[in-house]
Amino acid sequence: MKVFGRALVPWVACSAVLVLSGCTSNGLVVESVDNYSLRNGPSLSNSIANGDGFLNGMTIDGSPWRRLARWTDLNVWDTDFIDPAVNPIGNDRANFDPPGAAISYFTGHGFCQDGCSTQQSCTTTAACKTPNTAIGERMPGTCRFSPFDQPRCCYMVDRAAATSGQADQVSGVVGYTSGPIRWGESSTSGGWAQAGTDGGTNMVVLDISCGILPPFWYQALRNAAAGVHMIATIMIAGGDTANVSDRGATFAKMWAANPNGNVAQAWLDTLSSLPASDGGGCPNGGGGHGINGCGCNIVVAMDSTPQGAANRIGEDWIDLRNDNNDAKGNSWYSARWQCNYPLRTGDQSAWELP
Amino acid sequence: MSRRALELVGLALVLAACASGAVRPGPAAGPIPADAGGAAGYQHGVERSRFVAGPSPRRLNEFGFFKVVGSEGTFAVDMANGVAIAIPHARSSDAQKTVWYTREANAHNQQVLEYFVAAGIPKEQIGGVHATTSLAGSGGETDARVRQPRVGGYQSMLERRIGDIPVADSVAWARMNDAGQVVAEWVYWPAIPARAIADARRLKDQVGSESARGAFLGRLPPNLPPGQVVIRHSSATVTAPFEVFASYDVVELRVGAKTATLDRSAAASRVASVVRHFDADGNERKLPQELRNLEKPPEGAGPRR
Repeated sequence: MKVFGRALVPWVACSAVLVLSGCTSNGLVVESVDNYSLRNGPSLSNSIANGDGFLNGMTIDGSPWRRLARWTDLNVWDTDFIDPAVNPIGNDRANFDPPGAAISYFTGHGFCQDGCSTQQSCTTTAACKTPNTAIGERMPGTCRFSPFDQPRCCYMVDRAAATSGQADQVSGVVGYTSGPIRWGESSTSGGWAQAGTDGGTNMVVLDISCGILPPFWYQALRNAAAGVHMIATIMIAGGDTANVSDRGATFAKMWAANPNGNVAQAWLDTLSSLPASDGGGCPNGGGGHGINGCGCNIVVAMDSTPQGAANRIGEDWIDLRNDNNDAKGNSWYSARWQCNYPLRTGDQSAWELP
Repeated sequence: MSRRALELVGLALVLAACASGAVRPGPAAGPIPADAGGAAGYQHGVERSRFVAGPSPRRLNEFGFFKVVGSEGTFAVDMANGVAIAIPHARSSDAQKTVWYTREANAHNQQVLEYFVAAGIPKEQIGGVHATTSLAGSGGETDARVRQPRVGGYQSMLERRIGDIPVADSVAWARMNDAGQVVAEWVYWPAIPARAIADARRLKDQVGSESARGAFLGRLPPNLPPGQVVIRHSSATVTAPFEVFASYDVVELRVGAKTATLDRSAAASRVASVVRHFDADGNERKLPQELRNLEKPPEGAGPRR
């Protein structure tokens, strides 16, 4: 008994240290918007069911996760996502990016300005040099194509989520590409993103329209990556994200089935696990699975080194809760996709003519 | 002591505490009988799977699943609805590979089709098979240009039909490697009762009939585009009692008012599409997964602060 007692003491002590040091985060934040009656409509039907499906699935009996915040409809404000260290109107530390958060999930509208307004056809990316700066397009350009679209010049455009909140301060535009958005900064990540250390989420899910457009996955998300381990969203290759009710619950089911499974892969596999009828078709085969047209579930992880980024994208659900894994920079990325249409194994470029 | 070691100690203690309790097995693998006139389902199980969990797997109940957990991965069957999910561990040998399949999507489709038919999915219920694509890529700020991602492999999914009527929410997909082993899979193929099939046929006859179509469409909200007759059922994430019904599914396009663009220099209309379901009597229906709402706020609830 003495031996057992002596063995137990360090275990209890270590557990206490872990809890007190705050190096484990298990909180869940969900913000869901169906009601877009104030701005940025039309209203949706499935966001709340989608977000609540995620919360419900992650907090079943015996779960290590806990609910930190759940906001819906007009109670979702654009300031929830803004870092107060970058713009004082923001309050993400009490909402979307609080200390103790492991996963922050937004489901609602996104903006779909595609950067292709010039409609210049192309055969190489080198030809794409004339962005329409008057409407926010800028370099770099790309000769983008998909089963939906012939190759044409498209340009970098900021990506953003949309809210319709009673206290919105910036027209409900959550501009994560170049706006005052910083997610995941904490004492364990350090303050390298110039946003303090008062955040803490380890994963952000943007379940929205046009979360990323190819091939600007790094440019679109880098600004917001301030310590977060990874950001999951939808990359549209032609069409739009479908507002479906079951993406969040399916993602949660992946955790419950195997907590030692890969988190990024779980997000990707939600695509294949949703019905093909959830969304419209993609020309030449494919489509659906939560997307109207052609697109992919994508996860991008960033860190200060290539190996760090690879480690983040390789995390299981236990790693995700460990704040010691917080990103120490965003100068490297590792990304994974799952697309709702077949691409050839030898393709050198999925969405861009080089 | 590392955190992972601590968690393993904790897990061992829990397992030891539970050692005296028997593990409840999942539902038996094989056909799921239907009522007379219905369509049989298929219950997937580890004994019929080519998923490699790894040596010396242990069996346990966790989070509502019966699980077979090995060093390489977990095969889990939901005790409430039977969905079977096989997922490799993040540190398994398969999960470390960025390319695990080097043939084309059509070959993968055929392999997965043959695998599921051999396992027991009724061949006559398979209306087709199609693929999704996995890719991986990396890069950084010092890269001169975006590095293009590389295809790593595929997922192939079966399309369920009963006669000529799609069953939208039944899912069976698998990801295979070059050795023909299953790297991951997800199977939910419940039995479909005769009533739902009969309703779907009646609905299809109505919609296909010149004389009856007008009466049926007249019971729907105005200005909807043409739809499709399908069988809808509870999704694999629903553990409440199973629901199934014949539906005339319509994709409604909703167009919003002019809205700000990102730089707020212009305005554009936003479009969203929503799938709506109508039964044979024209009544709008919702699937259980569409009705989730953890907290309905009271009428007239004010702002949160």
